[in-house]
Amino acid sequence: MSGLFLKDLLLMGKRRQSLLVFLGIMAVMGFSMGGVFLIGYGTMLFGIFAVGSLSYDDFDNCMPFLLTLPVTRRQYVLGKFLFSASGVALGWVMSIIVSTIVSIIKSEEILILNSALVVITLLPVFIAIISIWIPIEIKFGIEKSRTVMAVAVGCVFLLGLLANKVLPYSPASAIDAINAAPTVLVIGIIIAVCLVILTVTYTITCRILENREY
Amino acid sequence: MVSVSNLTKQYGDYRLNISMEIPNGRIVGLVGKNGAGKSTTIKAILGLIKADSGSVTVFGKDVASLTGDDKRRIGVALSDSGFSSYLSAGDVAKILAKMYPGVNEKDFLNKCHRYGLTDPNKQIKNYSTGMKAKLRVLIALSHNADLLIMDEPTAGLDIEARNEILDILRGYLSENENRSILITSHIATDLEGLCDEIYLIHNGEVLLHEETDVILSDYAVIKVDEEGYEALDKRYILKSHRESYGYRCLTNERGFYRENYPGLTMEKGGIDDLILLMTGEK
Repeated sequence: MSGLFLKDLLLMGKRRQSLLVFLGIMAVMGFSMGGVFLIGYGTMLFGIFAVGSLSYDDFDNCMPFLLTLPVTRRQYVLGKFLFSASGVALGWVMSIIVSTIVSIIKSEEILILNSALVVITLLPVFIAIISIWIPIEIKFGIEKSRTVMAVAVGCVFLLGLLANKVLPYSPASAIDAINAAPTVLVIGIIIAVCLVILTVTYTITCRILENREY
Repeated sequence: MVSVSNLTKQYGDYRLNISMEIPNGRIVGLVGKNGAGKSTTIKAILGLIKADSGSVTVFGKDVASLTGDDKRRIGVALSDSGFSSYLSAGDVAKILAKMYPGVNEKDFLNKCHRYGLTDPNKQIKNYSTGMKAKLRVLIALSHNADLLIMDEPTAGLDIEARNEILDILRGYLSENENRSILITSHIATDLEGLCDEIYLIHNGEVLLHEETDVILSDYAVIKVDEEGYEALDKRYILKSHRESYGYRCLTNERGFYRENYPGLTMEKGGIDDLILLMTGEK
């Protein structure tokens, strides 16, 4: 599995220029917006970048050959989850560094000191979000997966709107309830939900790949 | 080493139904026309597709239960799949060294250099067809696998590149006689000089399984006119094909016809004749 991880790392290295552009965008955003938004944006950007390794495997019809290498299909999936999570973690760390540097230059209060718990929570949340992408990409391939993701995001948005109309209480009251709850409890629940999502997406991805023929 | 038993796979109207063995230390060739089922068979042996029925065992284990360690004993070169073309030979060397204990990055690159892949930083997408084929074969051979599975390793190559690849394979086999190879090719002469035995498949079924030496020594193509064909003892005629001058017949008893029909026009049979006559219409 470490061999496939290295392969993805080497392929990521081929996109050094894109990474530098990402860092540039993060720096500009840090100066203009700053805060949690920058960390969220940067983390997601690197996560998407890491998930892109699946596109490389799909693009050149590499998958049949990769599955003949000394890894099982489950190990391949685990490798992709670890690589994507590492990408998210790298983006998260880079965003915090950029955010901190920008705060120091602008002589502002350093964000991670006053919003540490929120910043920490962003990491599992984005790992969970990225993990939803992996089974979709493996199931539908590069082109179709984009459409499927767009439709999925649209569906979530529509469900939100529907829930807003149907449910007897407003989303604002739910947010108030969350704000009123102890922070540690809320973060604990968020992390637990993320772990459930990760377990479900990993299991689904393994099943998809184990049933897929090449 | 590999056993395929009553393997069936249905794709629409097409049905693969095949049994074959790859014994230890043998080089087995799989020949047939396009769409005969060669690649499907290879995919089944590699566990890339699931059989509808039947079984495929590799090293005595069901192919679906092969572990990473089992797969380390297999070297694979596929005609249409490999590492990403954005990688270079240098990158591939690093990956192989990480994946397979015993693979040395420098040794792999030296081998690449010996076979004309001189720039370790050149991306595979910038390689010629021959260079890509050589790299695929070198990757399959990199980790001293017990079993090599090669799908059309010489496809699309000129005679020089083909010979180079066949030389690489011969050299690999001479290092250890217990190694086995399953190889498919459209080019019969490639297989005649390499394989111990041949499976001819057509429309998803094995039409013939024979030792290569027997094909080359005992098989022959007989050319006769209508009259001669009628008079011919057809006990050892495997297949006949109507031609403008009469008949073209494939036999596996060259000696019999040479002795009993001294004036008969007879050509030494080869794998190409086998494919053409066995898979042609009567």
